Amino acid sequence: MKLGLGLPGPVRQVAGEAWASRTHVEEISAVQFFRLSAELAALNASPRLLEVASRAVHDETRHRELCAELAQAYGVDPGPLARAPALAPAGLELFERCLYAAVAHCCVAETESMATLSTLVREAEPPEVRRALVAIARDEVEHAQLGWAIAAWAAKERSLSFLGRALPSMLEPGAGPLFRQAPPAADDGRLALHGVLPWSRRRQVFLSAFEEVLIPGWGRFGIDGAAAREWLRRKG
Amino acid sequence: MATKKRHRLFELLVVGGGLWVATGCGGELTRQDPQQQPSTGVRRVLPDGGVPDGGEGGDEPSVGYGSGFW
Repeated sequence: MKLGLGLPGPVRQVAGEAWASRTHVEEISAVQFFRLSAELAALNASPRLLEVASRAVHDETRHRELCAELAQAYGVDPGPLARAPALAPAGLELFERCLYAAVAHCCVAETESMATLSTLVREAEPPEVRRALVAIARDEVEHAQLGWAIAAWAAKERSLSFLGRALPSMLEPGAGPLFRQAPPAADDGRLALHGVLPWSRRRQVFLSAFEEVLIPGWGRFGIDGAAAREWLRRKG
Repeated sequence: MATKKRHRLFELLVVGGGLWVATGCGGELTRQDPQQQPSTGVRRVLPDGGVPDGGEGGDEPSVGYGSGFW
């Protein structure tokens, strides 16, 4: 399968690299869900939460394959997997480690994925790309909901306020690069037809999700967004 | 239009996730840390048969980290 042959070379390369990057994001995500499911089990979470976290490991493994096929279709080999680091800083107890991972991975990254996917699904043109986006979005809804469900569950018994100061660390790896200058090919409007948001639109989608989903979502469960706002102000 | 869509995302994800718990799908939070408990000897594996880098927990960073974005 070859896609995007009508695109200028640098733009097709950006599309391929985006799908290759997603291949790694999905593979790392499978590892993060694997760890999260073990932590949830240790915290005596309900079968429903455990089932969704465990299923997410398999979902993300499937997504990795879809993304890798599309990367290759746009002429880019995803290459070997990058290392999947633990998310929470050293020294946290189990409850804090689990909540850090749930918020960083599900509430932040998976919610951002849904904001991006819900935009892309309407614009992508090649049937192979549309099918992959729809299949991935169907699962990512549940992955993001899992994070907010874990926050709701945990906030019933303990304060989650300790997470407020950690929000910049959670945001930086995914959102930080959006505030750097991108090459012109990365902002080409035709990318959206191939399942990739042009750079400036990625930033807009993130900023909207930040204000309208993340900030009120954190606030709902007692996580102060002030440090995240300060991080964003410094990016601006 | 865009604002309306994003409000729907809040309802779908944040409110929707919270509803799982409101309808009894949370569980009773334990206070025990399994690192202080004897190992069960069960080794969790990924679908491809591998185990995560760094074993169960990976190397913990000195400051927190976040997941990559789509």
